[in-house]
Amino acid sequence: MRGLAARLGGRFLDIADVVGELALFTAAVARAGVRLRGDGRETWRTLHAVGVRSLPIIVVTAWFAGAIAVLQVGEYVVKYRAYEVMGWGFGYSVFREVGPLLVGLMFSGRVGAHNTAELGTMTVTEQVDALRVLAIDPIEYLVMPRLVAMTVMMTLLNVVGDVFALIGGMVTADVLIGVDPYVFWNSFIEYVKLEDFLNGLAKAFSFGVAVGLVSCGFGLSVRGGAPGVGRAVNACVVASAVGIFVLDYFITHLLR
Amino acid sequence: MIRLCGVTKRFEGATVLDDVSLTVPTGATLGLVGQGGAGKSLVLKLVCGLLRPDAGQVFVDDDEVSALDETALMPVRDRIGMIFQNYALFDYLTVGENIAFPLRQRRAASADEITARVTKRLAQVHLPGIEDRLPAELSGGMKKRVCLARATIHDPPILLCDDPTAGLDPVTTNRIFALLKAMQVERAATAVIVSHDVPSLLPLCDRLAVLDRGRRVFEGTCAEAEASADPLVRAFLHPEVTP
Repeated sequence: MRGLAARLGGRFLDIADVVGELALFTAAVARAGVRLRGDGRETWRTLHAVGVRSLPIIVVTAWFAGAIAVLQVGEYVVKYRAYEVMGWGFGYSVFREVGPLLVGLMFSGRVGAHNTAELGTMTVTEQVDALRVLAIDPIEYLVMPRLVAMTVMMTLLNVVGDVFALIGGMVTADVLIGVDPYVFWNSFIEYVKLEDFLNGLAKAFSFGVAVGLVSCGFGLSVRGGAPGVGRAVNACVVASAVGIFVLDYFITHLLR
Repeated sequence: MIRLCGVTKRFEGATVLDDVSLTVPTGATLGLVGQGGAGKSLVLKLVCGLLRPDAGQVFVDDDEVSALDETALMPVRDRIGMIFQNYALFDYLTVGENIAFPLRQRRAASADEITARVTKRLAQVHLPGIEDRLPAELSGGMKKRVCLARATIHDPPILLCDDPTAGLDPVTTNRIFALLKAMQVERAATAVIVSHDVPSLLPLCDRLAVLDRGRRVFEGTCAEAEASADPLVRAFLHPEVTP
């Protein structure tokens, strides 16, 4: 019994340690953000790496997410002949929930994990120490550009994802269920509100901030060489996913 | 001037540096030698403020490095160039960008001037025309010379070298030490050079310090080191006669 309590206590302390470290890191990033410090050249490089290279995977994911959403509801749409609400149902769920959530998870898996691996490798190979010795603040040079790029690109990729999910859904509805694209589009335009779109955008923005902070925080706190980098990447993917769902819940609750 | 006063550093209960005091006068070069794990690299990291001592003080000129936070350390680090044991070149930047990095970040010169200085410094380290190559495409000896170029491009008055010839063949080792010697003659920087290769190191140094399991066992001029009866000092100075 004491052994179990000790293990649980140890685990709790480990988690508290990680959360505390992330909180301190977030405070340091906030201070750099207030001072508007960051490296423009590094920001452009990261914007390209984060955004342009993520585009194909986001387009494919969004297209199929749209198609799947239509397939799931298609049976009931046909059964109840509710063709004129299909565009609305689809747009509402994709804009508010499916789009930002799927793009966020893909983004954390691809960009967040890559970012942690990159910063972790820089840490264990003393490149971060080299920056500090050159009198360059790693938060300003490495973290701020990545955080800005990940937040901006996550938000923009969400918009791209919404568009391709819509196209994927419309094509699938036409080809497999026989819903005229004109009917689908009319229903979408008629019932989906701007706030549905903005709701998703707010989520995407906050997911971008969360993935950026978590991936940079885990990357810069790597210890223990290559195995440490692996552990940090794993921890980053898990923490980002948990963070995305928790944020999703609170934002949904706040913006009801 | 660099001064360590009674510095102690522990990691997870193990004492890695134990009450170590060292002095490097302005413009002098200190050779720091010792067996693996003696705490030599740690001394360099304490000097540039990458780590803080658990006890004692570290001074760079009049600044107490061990008492400064990261922001206050920046002006001190502006005066330091460091060569890392494992290169620490930025692997996503080309050689030219690596060397130009300290100047670009400081906005210390125009783009044309930076390019000219990089070209000149690469020629000085006998690596002309490799500006566009990536660090991954270089040999160990070339990486060390690029490190040397990056560490000195902004002409820092203090140079810290962490085993600049580790793992290199004798020819490349001699070349690196010759470069360090030439740069020291030209720039008269205050320097601390960590190395296992004491015969090659001695001609560069004004002073020598020997660490053993975290304790300083010798500090003095090279002549005093030659005259020392300490078996460890003699073992480093004359490895060929040590049983």
